[in-house]
Amino acid sequence: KKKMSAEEIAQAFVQHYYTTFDSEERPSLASLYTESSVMTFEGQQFQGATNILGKITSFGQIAHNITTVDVQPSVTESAMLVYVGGHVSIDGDSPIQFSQVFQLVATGPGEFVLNNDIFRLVYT
Amino acid sequence: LIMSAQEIAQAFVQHYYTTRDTNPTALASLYQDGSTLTFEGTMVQGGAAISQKFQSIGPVKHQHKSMDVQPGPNSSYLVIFITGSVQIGGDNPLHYCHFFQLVSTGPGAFYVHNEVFRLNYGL
Repeated sequence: KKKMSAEEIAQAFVQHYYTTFDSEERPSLASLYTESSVMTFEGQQFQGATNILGKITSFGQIAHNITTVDVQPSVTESAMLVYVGGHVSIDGDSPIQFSQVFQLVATGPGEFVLNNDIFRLVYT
Repeated sequence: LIMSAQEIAQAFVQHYYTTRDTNPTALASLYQDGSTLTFEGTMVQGGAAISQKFQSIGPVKHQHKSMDVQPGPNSSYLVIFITGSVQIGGDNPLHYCHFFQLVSTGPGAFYVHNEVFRLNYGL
């Protein structure tokens, strides 16, 4: 079985995350977060899968369009950083630019959780 | 006196931008061999290459606005996300986003292990 590169893992994750977020399956994203996961959305911080799920399911119709993905190895071999840039449309409104950073921590071959998640809208 | 994560981040951000804008070569001490910078999609590794990259950009002036702080995967890591505006070489200010992961090397001592910088242009 071919081992995926960090770039491949990151691209697969980004694809999965935003496709799922924008669909009716959004609640299933909860499995990506643990008790110690921290998510900051527009300056508001949430800790743990339950609280994070509560926040992400509070949004209505969302459509993300991804333009940039930057990947970096983190401090240990089992972690990586994924920095995403793109546009997001909230409830069908005009798209706004956003940036989002994730820290993925491996829990097994091909499996990982999100330890960190920070989202900011960008008003240029 | 033990500083909170917010206090550490605030002090770091202040120090970083002041140094970056006025004396960029002095920033080199913030990085180690394993440090990675991705600047507008270009990745460089290690203090020397990172310093070189900053020098190649020329004079900059940052005005940071928002700061989000989170603990990293263990207690000696700290993650910081900043937004603000930056003037590069006296041009008009542009919006930017800036991400750091700091690693503690001892009480009150940190180095930058990860850094990602992106400019944001209008839609």
